[in-house]
Amino acid sequence: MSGTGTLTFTEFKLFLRDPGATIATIGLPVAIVVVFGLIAQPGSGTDPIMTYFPAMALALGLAQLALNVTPTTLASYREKGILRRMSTTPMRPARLLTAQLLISIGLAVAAAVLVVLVGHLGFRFTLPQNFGGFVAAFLLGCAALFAVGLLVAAVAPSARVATGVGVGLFFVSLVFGGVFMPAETLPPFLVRIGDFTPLGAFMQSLRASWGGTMPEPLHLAVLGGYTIVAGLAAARLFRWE
Amino acid sequence: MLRGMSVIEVSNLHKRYRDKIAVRDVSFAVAEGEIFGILGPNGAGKTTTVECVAGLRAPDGGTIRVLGLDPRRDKDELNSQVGVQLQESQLPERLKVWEALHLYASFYPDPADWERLIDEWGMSEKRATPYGKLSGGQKQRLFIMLALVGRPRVVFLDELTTGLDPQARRETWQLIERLRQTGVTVVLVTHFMEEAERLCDRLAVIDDGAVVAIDTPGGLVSQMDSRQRIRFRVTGPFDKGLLTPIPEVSEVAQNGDHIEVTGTGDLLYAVTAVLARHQIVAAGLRVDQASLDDAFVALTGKRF
Repeated sequence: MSGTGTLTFTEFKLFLRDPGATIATIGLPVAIVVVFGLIAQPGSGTDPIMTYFPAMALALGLAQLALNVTPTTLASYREKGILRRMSTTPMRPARLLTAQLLISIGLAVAAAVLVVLVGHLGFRFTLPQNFGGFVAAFLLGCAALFAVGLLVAAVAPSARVATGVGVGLFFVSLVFGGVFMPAETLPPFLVRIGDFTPLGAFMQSLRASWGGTMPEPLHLAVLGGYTIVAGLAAARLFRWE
Repeated sequence: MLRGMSVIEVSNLHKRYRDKIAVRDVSFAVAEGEIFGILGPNGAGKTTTVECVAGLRAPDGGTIRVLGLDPRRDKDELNSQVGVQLQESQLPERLKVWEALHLYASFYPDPADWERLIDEWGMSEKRATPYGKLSGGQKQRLFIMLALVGRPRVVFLDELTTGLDPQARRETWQLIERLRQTGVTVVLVTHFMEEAERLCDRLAVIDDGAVVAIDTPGGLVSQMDSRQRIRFRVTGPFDKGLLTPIPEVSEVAQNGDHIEVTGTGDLLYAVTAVLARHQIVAAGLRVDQASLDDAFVALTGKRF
């Protein structure tokens, strides 16, 4: 196996050894679908609220992964001198970041597949009706949220600060993004703000595609914007030591 | 002084951080197969020097060549030929010993057999132990192994034994002595006299960012005057005046029944002869000669 392959595989094993991270990113979304599946009894109803539960489960898992787990891990790698130590070997430390992102995106996809399948097969939640829109929303959402998470990791002086900032962003996003409560029950100004947050735009796009319509261009544009701006800023500002 | 070809050449190295000069005009050369020590008190510029040489920091002035390469410009080429153990670097808590070695071995074009390395360095029983569960000495052992896994020609070890208990420190020293047999060139940064004296072929003593001496440990000590010190205890009354007239004696200090005599030449014989003539029993007699410690104090004017 090449150095990059070994690095990615080793990082993957380390991720799985952290029970907190695995529970938050895969266990929790699946548990949410199961719990709300039991409570809401979706059946074959077409009530738009039924798109809320699986979308919320996905958004919650991805937000944990991108805003919490990834920044903390990367900042701790810098804090512990792991990136610096690696820079004295022929392996570039940037590959460690790439490996982390690959693993995180892989896990996000696994969580999405599990949520969709468990929800559908176990509790008769509908499958995403506009599948193209769903894939677009999911990929752009991943890109936007990880870009923001990387930016946190880039500038946080320590792992503790990265965790603090990440958790802060996480909860603010949940409130504004219509994750805590469905957007239709929130005051309109909150929803309007949420339209311009990455998690809010992600959540609304997911629900739209689940219900069968194409996500709103505004939401996809917001996700693309975060990806580019936060991604470039993270690349420029990332501190290796 | 150099035994073979020099693999590291540093001339007129300068490095400043903001308004503080960390390293001023440092020059030295390290021969192939040598264990070269960089000794100095905390904050003397040792780590900055070795980090510039290892290519981790850009110097503000001077030239550095390691294996004929510029550590900054030729970093990629050099990285496959050097091994580095950094002060205060760690590994992920849950990474196991064998995984760390397997991972780092995969970075190098022609790595050592890491399975054998584990056996050779006595870590077979800790093979599957996560980094976070290793003792301080075992962690350091793992870092030495990681520095060696790429089969480097030059190894940099920065403050390897700081924070270890005396037992673990001695074990680590034995490991470094084994490195000598492999022919690899070692640059060892330390602030422990005993460590430098025991391990290093030659030493650069650094103080306040500058080199104050470069020599073998023995050479540094012999630059000191040949003063000796004898210490013993007496029972009953003792008159300092008995010893002061002896030509070899330069000073006699008495503290209760503890006597300390300083002097030169055949001091021990002269003093014991006089004591025997006056039937004074000297208990717990010890002779101290100048050590690297004394040489260091003489060179830098500090103790640490």
